[in-house]
Parts: sequence; C-alpha cells; structure tokens
Amino acid sequence: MISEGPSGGKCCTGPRRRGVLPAVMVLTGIGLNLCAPAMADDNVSIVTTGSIAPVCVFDGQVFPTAGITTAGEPIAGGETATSLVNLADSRDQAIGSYRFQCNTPAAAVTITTLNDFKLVNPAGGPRGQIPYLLKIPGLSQLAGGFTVTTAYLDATGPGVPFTERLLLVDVGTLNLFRLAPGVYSDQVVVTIQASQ
Amino acid sequence: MKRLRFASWAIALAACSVSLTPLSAQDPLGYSLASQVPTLCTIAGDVYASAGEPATSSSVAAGGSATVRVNLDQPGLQEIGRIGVECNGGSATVTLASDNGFRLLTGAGGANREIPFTITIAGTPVTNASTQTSYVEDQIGKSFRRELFITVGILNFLLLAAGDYTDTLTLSVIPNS
Repeated sequence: MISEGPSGGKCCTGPRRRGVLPAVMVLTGIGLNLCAPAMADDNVSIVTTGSIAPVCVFDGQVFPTAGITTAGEPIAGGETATSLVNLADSRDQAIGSYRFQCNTPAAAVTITTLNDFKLVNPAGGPRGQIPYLLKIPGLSQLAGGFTVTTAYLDATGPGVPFTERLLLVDVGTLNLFRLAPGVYSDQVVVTIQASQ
Repeated sequence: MKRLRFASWAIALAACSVSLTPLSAQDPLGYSLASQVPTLCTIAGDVYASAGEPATSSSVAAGGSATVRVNLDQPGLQEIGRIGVECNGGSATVTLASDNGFRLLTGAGGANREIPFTITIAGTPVTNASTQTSYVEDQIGKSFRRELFITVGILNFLLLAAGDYTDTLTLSVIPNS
C-alpha cells in the first residue's frame, strides 16, 4: 500500500552500538548522506491478460430438390430443412452444403443421422429401409461406410475464409419393387467443434 | 592501590599535555555538519484480479507485480486498478511502459494474434502509438491515487486466434528534483 514508506530510501534504522555513535557522527557529518541512496525509479508491474475462446461460425443450405444446387435454402444452427431425394437416380445427389469458419487451427466436424444412414419408412417393416452413402467431395472418410459418427479435422484458423462442403447422397441402384411403398426419410445432423 | 591508579592517571595526563597544542580563545574549532534527504517517491497500488471488479483487488507494493484479467468481449473502459504515488516533496514523473507496445499478444504476436488496447491514466489515454508515456505529478508531500482503465475495441473473435493474450505494464516514478 502506498502508506508504506519509500522502498527506495531505507534509512539507517538498525541497532546502534553505544559509544561508537559520536565518532560516526563526526566522520559522516561532513556533507555525507546518512541514508542509503534512493532507487532511481520505483515501479510496479501489472500483467494484463485476456482470453479468446475457441469459436466457430457455422451455417449451411439445403437443396429442396436433391441435385439442384441453384436454389438452396439457407439454414442456421438449430434449423432443419428438407431435401427430396430421387430414389430412381443412382448418381450422387447434392442435398445441401455447410460452411464454417473458426479461430482455431482445427475443428472437428461430426455427422450423424437419425436412422444410421438409412432412409426409413416406418410402416414398411423390413422392406422399409434404404441404406445410402453420404459423401463429402474432397474427403474420403465418409465415402466408404455408414459410420454413425464420423469426425474429421479440417484446416481452419483466424482469418481463414469460410470452408464450404457439399453433402451428397448416394442411394445406389434400387429395385423399387422390393421396397414398401411410402415416404422414406432420414435426418442428417452436422455439428462442428473448434479444437486447438 | 588507589595511589597506584592516581599515578597512572597523572602519567597519562602529562603525556596528553605534552602532545596537544594549547588552545587560545581566538582559535575555535569548527565542525561543519551537513546532510541531505533526497527527494523520495514510491509507487504502489491495488490491482484487480478481474477488471472492473474492485472486490478482487489486491495490494501491490513497490517492486511488486500483479495480474489482472481483462474481459475481451467487453468494449469500453474497464478499471484494472489504482496506482498511488507518494513523494516527500517536489514533483515526480510517472512513466507507463508496455512490453508489447500496448498490445495483448498470444505467442509471438503477429497477424490475428494481437489485440491493441488503450490505458487511461490520470485521465489521459495512452494508445499503442508509443511504447511508453509519462506525465508529471505535482502533488507536493502528499499521497494520491490514479485510476487505471484499459479499453479494448470491439473484437471479431473469428479473426483472432483462440488462446491467452498478455502484456506487461510497468509504472515507474522518478522524482523531478
């Protein structure tokens, strides 16, 4: 606290030996300073810190008609939109895309589906399921199987522009006569987590 | 025994009288005594562990150091502590210096890794335009306090690398006399 004495000028306050003091006074009294010299400067240091938390921004779009990428419907976090897949088309069909930007060197993207990568018709029983492949161009991790949770790291970092990924569905060649009639659906959930 | 002690005193006195020159009234001995009390100043203060929260204050003595955590998502003034200067007279110059040129850095700094800030002391804002600033305190023989504020701008967290940012401020006081 500032009420404390000056740290830079500690005077000679130690115990004095009787009988020596008068001699010392005569010797030092001629223009000499009885105190230790003050420090040239007195200072305090303040270390200032702050933290920037890992953060990502994340949005996407859904193509109402799979394969038609010119009319995407924007979606933000927590939102859902529907893409109608053509089961007679064995080619990859773009159902939507997502994009992200993070302030970390990496981010984990997790993709899960409600029905474990199957389009399901609840009324169809055993004939009410259509497994499909979910593909992301440029990334091979998701192309080969129906992993419930698939995560990958993507290059991100402060100032890095948005990274955009396309989501493709591949239902393969289906024999529609072996499938129960009705509506088939699944829900794809994409999440992102910034990581250091 | 007493006679022997008296004899030794007498011999000693005789020896002194031989070696000393007799003093006259016109030739006094002069002893000039002088001393000096230098102008002294000290600086100390209270630093808040969390900016803007005086309840987290801790005392910092001269020569000491303390850490304050700044809320980076809060634009505007945030009080980080109070500095007290005490001198035994005259005026003093208080200097505020920054290790990083008034920028909070993460790692070695650089693009996307530094946050400029402003310190306001004695009502005077100090920006990162220089590495230090100073002002004169002219309160003679008094102790007084100055509030210290830090200001960070509105930050785009997506353009700043996640992590801890830091800088060290040093406040020094030097007597002007």
